[in-house]
Amino acid sequence: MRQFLKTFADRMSSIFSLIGGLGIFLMLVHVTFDVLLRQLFNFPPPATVLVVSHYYMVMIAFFPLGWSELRGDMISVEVLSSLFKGKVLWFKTVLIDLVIAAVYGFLAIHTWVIAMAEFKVRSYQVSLGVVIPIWPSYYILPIAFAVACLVVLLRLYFYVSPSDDELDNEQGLAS
Amino acid sequence: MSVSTGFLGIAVLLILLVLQIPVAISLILVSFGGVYLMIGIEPAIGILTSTPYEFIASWTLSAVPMFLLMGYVAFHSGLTGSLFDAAKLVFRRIPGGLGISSIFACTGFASVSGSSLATAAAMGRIAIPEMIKAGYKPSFAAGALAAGGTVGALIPPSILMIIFGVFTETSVLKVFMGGISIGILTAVAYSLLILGVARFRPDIIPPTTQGIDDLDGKKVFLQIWPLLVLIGVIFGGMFSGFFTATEAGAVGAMGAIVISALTGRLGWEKLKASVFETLSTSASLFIIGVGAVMFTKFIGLSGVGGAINNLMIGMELSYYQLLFVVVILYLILGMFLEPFGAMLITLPILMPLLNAEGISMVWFGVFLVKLLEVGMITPPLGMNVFIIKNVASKYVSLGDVFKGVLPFIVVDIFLVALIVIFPGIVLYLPNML
Repeated sequence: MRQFLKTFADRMSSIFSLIGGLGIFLMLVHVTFDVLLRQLFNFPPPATVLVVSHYYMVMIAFFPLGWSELRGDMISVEVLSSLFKGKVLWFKTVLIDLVIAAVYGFLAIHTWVIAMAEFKVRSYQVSLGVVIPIWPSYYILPIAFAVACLVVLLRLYFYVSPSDDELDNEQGLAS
Repeated sequence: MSVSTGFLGIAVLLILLVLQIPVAISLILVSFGGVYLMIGIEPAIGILTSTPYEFIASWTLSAVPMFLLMGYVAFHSGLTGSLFDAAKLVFRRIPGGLGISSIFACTGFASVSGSSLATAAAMGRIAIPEMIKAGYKPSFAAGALAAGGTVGALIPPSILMIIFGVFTETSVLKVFMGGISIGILTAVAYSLLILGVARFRPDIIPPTTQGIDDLDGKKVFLQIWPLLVLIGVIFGGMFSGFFTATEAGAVGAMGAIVISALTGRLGWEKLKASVFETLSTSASLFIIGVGAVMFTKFIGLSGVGGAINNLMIGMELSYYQLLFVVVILYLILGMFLEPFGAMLITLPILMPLLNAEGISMVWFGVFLVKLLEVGMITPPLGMNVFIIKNVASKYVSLGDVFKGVLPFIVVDIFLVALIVIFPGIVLYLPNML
């Protein structure tokens, strides 16, 4: 079960980070072609600014959140980290992960409400006569925050229930 | 009541950070709680849910992942590695040559990067292990690269300068020109510090030139020319108007990929690593940016900024007194806020005061970016220090990096004084346009 959950957390966060990577690739190609087509043929693709801002940027910023959490890439101040040891460290780690999960969960729920509102009005923006629907991009936020919340909860589960191997190691060290 | 809630929020933020709650989550929690206390739950939820999308869905901000990608591709393909070697060739005979080389390599890298974080990350990966191997004290080596990274936002292209130009309706090109002088001056001042340390503190920098003598000048040039081409494309394109500063990020990243691939330096694995590192850095920084914008809104609502402004007007300050207060203000804000937040919350307050004093906005733009960059290396929220800790976690703790960066902060304060006393240092190049 534990191994299944670990694989699940890894794969789920990796898939979403890959979608974020796709956002980087699309932005790179789209903006470069925009510059080249505008300067060489005076014919830029329409709505580059809108697509870059409302789709690629949102993909890049939010989809990799769960993956970053799993890798422990989130930045925190560690100046006084040596003060926390033993039980205090255990409680602090559990408490922090619960707080992080709660914030992500809260964001997931409330950005979902916003996404539904945008869907209802089919929100869009217009650039030089071209209509770009932007409501789908609002769904990226609740999905990404929900994934991040789940990943942090799984990380917490792995922390509070050490595997048999880890327990063996601890016992070995104690003896 | 609101002002006291604002100051209370700042205090709570400090406590959460000390408890090691991630920076982004701390900012979000304090902002939400603060707005809730001041004006109720509905506005608090409104800010919490609208800010992430509003802040991220930004064309200007899109330059960040692109400049990061360019930096990582340049790093993984070895383009920036040869820049470090080239600098080592130039400074090989000088005491502290390796450290000075790392600063000038940062300066060269800054020409292809608009972000001090990307500069610190890319050069830190290469230079810190070499410096430590050569006997440099790890904390000093890490501090030098955290500080060297700040040149990344001073030498154009610079995202901070673009946003300043747009916000104050000042010529971005002129601010860029002013940034060149201060970027180079900063690099020279840091180098003098390293030279002094090498001369008087052999326990921090050993008096040897380990690993420098075996460099072949011809080989180094053959390695560095692609980077020079890339720098030429970015600067040429921007200053000729072929593309905007925001587009320069994507064009530069594409240029770095094409040049690296054509010269046989970039394979699939290196490209993949570059993309994933870009994602990791972007995600962790953007979520802090989201938190910082929320915090900026909370501080704005609390009236802390207005209280400070009233205080300054009431004191009827002279030109130098005003600038002294500005310096102190940004040094304090830089400790707690990320540069965008610090800049955007203070400009509306300061601009009337600056205009009344007849202060050049080109000069102030460069001066402000310099001050904000000092904030990138001051505790407890020194973003450059965090990124250096990330890339050199094998060698140093966060405390080590903060300790190592202290002498560079002292140099920066001296430079800030120099810019105030001799504004011509900044304005000489822009006035030539």
